[in-house]
Amino acid sequence: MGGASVFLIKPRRSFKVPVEAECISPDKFAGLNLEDLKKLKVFEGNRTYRLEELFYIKAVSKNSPSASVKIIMEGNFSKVWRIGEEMSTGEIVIKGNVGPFLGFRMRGGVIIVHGHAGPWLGAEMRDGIIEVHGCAGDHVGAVLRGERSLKGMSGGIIRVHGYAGAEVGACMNGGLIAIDGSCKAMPGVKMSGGSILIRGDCEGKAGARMTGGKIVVCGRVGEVLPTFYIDGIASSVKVKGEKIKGPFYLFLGDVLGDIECRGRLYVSVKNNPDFKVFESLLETMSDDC
Amino acid sequence: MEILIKNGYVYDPLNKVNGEIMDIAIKDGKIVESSEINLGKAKIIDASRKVVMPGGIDIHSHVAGPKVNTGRIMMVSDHYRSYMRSHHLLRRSGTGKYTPSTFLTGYRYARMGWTMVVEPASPPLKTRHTHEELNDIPILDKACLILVDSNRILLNYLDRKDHDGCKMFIKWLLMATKSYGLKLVDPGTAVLWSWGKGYGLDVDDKIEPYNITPGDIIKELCKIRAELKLPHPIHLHCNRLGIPGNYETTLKTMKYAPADDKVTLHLTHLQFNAYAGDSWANIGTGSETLTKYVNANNNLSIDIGQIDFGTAVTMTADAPFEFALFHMARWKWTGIDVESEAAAGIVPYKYKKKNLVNALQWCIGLELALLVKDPWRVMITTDHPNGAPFTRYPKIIALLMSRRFREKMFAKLNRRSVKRAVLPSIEREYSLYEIAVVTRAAPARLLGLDNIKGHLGVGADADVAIYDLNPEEIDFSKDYQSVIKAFKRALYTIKSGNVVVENGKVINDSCSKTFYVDFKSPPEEQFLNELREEFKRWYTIELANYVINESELGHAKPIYVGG
Repeated sequence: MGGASVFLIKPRRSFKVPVEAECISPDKFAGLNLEDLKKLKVFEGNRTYRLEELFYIKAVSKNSPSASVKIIMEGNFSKVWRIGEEMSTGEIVIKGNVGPFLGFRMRGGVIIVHGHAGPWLGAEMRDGIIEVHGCAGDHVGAVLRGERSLKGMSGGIIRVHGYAGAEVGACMNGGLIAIDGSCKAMPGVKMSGGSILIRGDCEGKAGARMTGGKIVVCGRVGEVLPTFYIDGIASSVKVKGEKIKGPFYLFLGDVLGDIECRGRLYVSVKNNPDFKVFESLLETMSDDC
Repeated sequence: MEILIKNGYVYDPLNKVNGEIMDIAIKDGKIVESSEINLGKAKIIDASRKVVMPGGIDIHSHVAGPKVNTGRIMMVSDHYRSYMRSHHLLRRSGTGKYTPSTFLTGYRYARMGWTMVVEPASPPLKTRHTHEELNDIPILDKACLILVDSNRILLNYLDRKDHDGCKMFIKWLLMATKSYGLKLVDPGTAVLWSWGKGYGLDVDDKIEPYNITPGDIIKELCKIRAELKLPHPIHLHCNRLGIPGNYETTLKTMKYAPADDKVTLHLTHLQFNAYAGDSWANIGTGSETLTKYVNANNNLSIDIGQIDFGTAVTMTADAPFEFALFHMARWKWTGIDVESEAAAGIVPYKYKKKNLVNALQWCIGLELALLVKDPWRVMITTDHPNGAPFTRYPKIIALLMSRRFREKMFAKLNRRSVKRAVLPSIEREYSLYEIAVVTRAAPARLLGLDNIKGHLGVGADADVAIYDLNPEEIDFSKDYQSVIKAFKRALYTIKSGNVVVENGKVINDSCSKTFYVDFKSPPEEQFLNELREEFKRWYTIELANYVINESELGHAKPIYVGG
């Protein structure tokens, strides 16, 4: 990034209790010089610290304070929560593992993680890009507990190159979540829009109570809920402009969420040989028509 | 600690002081003559060009108890969004905006200059929980009212027309639960709700399987309250709450109040019971009819139960209504059944400006406050957290004081509802003196605590609020923003002679009492033996485990009554 002011952050020691560091975000860093940055407040457990007391901070390239901000983080941040909360511009690159709530309610910008991410990655995200080269925890791009389902992820892209946990994209309304590995149970629970692409397997219950949107599972799907109807076999499916070769069984549902069944669940034909049963259903349907 | 508050504009309606410049002297937690304090040692607060009032009293606010706690559990989202950090040795931390935790409840009330709160609906069986939570509310003085309307043992007495048994049971119940008064919620519905019925039970309908009506319960308990000389009148949440056309039921209910010069029946959150029309589409306001009756009869008092737009958590012992509301709101619902005593429901709800019904509810609440001529019989509440959190009181005060503010709000509301409301034609604006009446003096008098609370005369408890508001310079009608600002954060709040809030910040969180009524003569042994047998039939616990000891209350303050 030419012309950006670049900061390097390293932890001073390993943390035993969670560190709440919502101030590590390009939006909060913008317009501050290095001395002011060091005075930002972070919590370790129930104690308040200045940012420099827990982390080394170095300005790699100095530019005018108005320039866009890039934050490079090196080390183990797996106990550090809420990095990049509500960020709207700039870039964060993390070379190591990172804790929960990375990119929480993010509105723009880019986050790249060369390691593993914790749970609630990109929760309630609005826009922007998150790329994780390792694995992610539960609740990727999900809505927080107790919230109305309208508050779920509504835009942006989350790519996880490894595995992901349960409830990927819960209550999602828009955007894309792409998982290269497998994920645990209930991806896209209560989702109403957007797309989830799982290149690996899924533990089951995909799209429970979904009322819209698209879930594509390229590997084994475990089971499809009985509240889904089979609609046909698609030779390929498009996810945000990318064509994914099939063939796929197309299920519509979830009838428990919405009687109109506007949610679509694509399940690979090749990797799910048990689903041959559904093909007979398709034939009877065409006979009736 | 001695404090002298100098040169403030004092508003003290119980002593008929209307904005006179006076000094208030405080010594050992009481208000004393200015000559009694040692000027060399005393802390002197310069209140010139400021307003000095007694501490506010909230007569109806669900701040503690099992129902509130379930509301907290349901509103997870509320608790990670709104929080207050702890301050070493000064205050504890807390979370929640619509259903705040106990500590935060105390701090937020104190920041507004309020010093007493009444929890109005505690099921007797779970009052131990209510007291545990009340003990944890700092700063404020507290009291709780118990739900008695659907108690099976009481209904059995009523069914047998056993007046003495009824009276004895109520007396024992108040002593056993260490509570302050009686609350009736939609009399009889909780019994019917056990069979899934009870929605829309009218005041003259029979409560199956008993041979009594809600009206009988109200009449009988009003009589018992008078005989026991309880300080607080019967606190009544009328039947058919939240159903269009319910103002007729409310009017019928009002006629059950025994005639007297003093208030014998308090109708709570009347806004929810003042709808005309017969469906949600043609809902109208019944406030004119109701306030006309209240104006003509001195034995009634009301609190408004104003709503404010935004999220609220409705929680009431009227369980069938909550179940109906859940089907309208479609978010979350909890239903609770308390053995043979009560039921409850909790539903989070969002009031919207552009919604016909919600906008009309907003108008009706203010209409009630403005159309009742005698400010001593109307009180400001939001029925926290049902209509809005209590932190919206400053806004409601400003709305009552400024017609201009109300007109500004009309532009944002649903147009059809403004056309149906009476509010646009009302010109009345509350004066600061009347605000002091409705938020301080009137609740104190209604609670029967007007000798020690709600005034600044010699001998009163030293609960004082000082607001940064100059009544000589500010025209409240035009500059309503400064009213909101001043009431939102009191300049000083003094509780029992200690400064607890300074410049809108809580600096001390000690000193609070729980009031309850106590009787000099305990119930007879024969009655207790009968009751023990009844308990075996109706309850899962023994009578001995039901009774709450005085030691379980943080700072117990019994009020002895006759009878």
